[in-house]
Amino acid sequence: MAEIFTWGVIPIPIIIFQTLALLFSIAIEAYIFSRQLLLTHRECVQYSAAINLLSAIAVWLFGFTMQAFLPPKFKLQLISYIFLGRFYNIENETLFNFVIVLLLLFLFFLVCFVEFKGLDFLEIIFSEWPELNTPEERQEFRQRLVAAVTYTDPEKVTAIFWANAASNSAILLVILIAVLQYYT
Amino acid sequence: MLKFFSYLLNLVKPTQFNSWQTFNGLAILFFITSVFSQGFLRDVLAYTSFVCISIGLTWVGLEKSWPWTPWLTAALICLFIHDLIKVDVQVLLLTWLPLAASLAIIPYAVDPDFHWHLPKQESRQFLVILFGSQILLTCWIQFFFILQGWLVMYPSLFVDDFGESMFVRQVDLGPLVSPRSMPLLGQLRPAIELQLSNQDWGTMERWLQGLYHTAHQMPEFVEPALERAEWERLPEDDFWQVTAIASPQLDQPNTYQLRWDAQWRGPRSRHGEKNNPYDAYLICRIRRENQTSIADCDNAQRVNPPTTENGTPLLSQEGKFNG
Repeated sequence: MAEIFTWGVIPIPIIIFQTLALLFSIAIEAYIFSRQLLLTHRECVQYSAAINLLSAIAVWLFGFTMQAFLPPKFKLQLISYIFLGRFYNIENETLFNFVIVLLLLFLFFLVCFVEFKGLDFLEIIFSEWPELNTPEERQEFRQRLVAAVTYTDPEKVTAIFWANAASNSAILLVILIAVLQYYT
Repeated sequence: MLKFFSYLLNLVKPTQFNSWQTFNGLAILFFITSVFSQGFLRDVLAYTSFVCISIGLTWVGLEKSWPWTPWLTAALICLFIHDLIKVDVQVLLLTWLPLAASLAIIPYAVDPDFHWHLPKQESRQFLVILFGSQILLTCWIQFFFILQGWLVMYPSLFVDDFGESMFVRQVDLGPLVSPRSMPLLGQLRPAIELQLSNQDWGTMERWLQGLYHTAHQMPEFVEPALERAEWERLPEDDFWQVTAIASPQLDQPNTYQLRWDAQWRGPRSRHGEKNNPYDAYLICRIRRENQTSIADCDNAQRVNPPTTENGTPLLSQEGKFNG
């Protein structure tokens, strides 16, 4: 453990980037929710902040588990990309790019799914809770929880999908401008 | 000066018995007694002192309603656990923020008569966001630890330039870091000197002439030498390639020069391709003495040693890493 602290690598850029990206997507998604869902402005920002935090945590956890189970060959690619900003000796470039695009798509849908289910649960958490004294009331509450897991409200799904698409495209655009500036 | 002392006294002088000053005073008392005692008693007194100062500081925070009281208390609890049972620093750093968030929930969920109830509807949003943000911060801390773990597996990457990374930055440790090619060649050096000395000169000359012109890989030489030298194996070892090339020393008869190169075949940045911070070499001279050979080597050197700002090489610091 002691030797770990002798190395000086700190993840400052990704922390700054994620903070900015979170602020960005919270604002954009709150705006889209206010247009599409029947919520007050204050609620929109709160819901949007909560589910964006939730999805950011989900992506981190996904990354942590992935890196623990990756075979050494792919892990080296990951380490190379994170430290040096480039991949190492790619044999089949087409396949590699394809896998990267698939991974990004998967992450996008993971974020959508987490935000959607998070929104369902947050609605229950933020609503008035019944007194869980009688068996009927408990039964009713349990049914609401089951409904949150299984029921899919198409309007909410589209709202979240478009909100995410908009916020992620905006962030991509910002990255693109930054990258263009870097190369010219 | 007097004012300062009266301020200090105020921190510990109890205004009434049931107050935080009592605990701070007790903590100082226990601390002083623990300094003058020994063995088990000393530990007990020190721990008691720590508990007292924790309670005292939390009490101050609650009374003056500092917003960061939960974080302070959580840090003190973590420190206490760290001293009591030797838990990893990593685990404690990861529990600190969620613990602080859990402590911050208590005033919302427990009423003054110590009855548990659900937080009020309007404070729930705030609590969810608070908890989420603390867990996100914990994720960042965990990412930091994962990075350190990777560097333990691939320590030589640290000599490269991380400027193109979107994720991390290096803290400048100066010329203190050297790539692993240096200790690698340092470990090989005694083995080379031992094995190439006291050999029959004729066989040695033929072997050396076989190593002319192109660099030859030397696995049959390197592997046993490293095994004997108790070399700590790391995943990055697969990417170190050791080659040797021989040439006759023109100014001295019956002397050959053998150059050993440790080359990095792993990932490197654009910057690392240009000025090659990884590779190192070792120069050995093998000469004839009667019918046998004598080998002696210089210290291992980096192909591209780091320079100070005015361009002079940092040879003095480099020397430390040859053994």
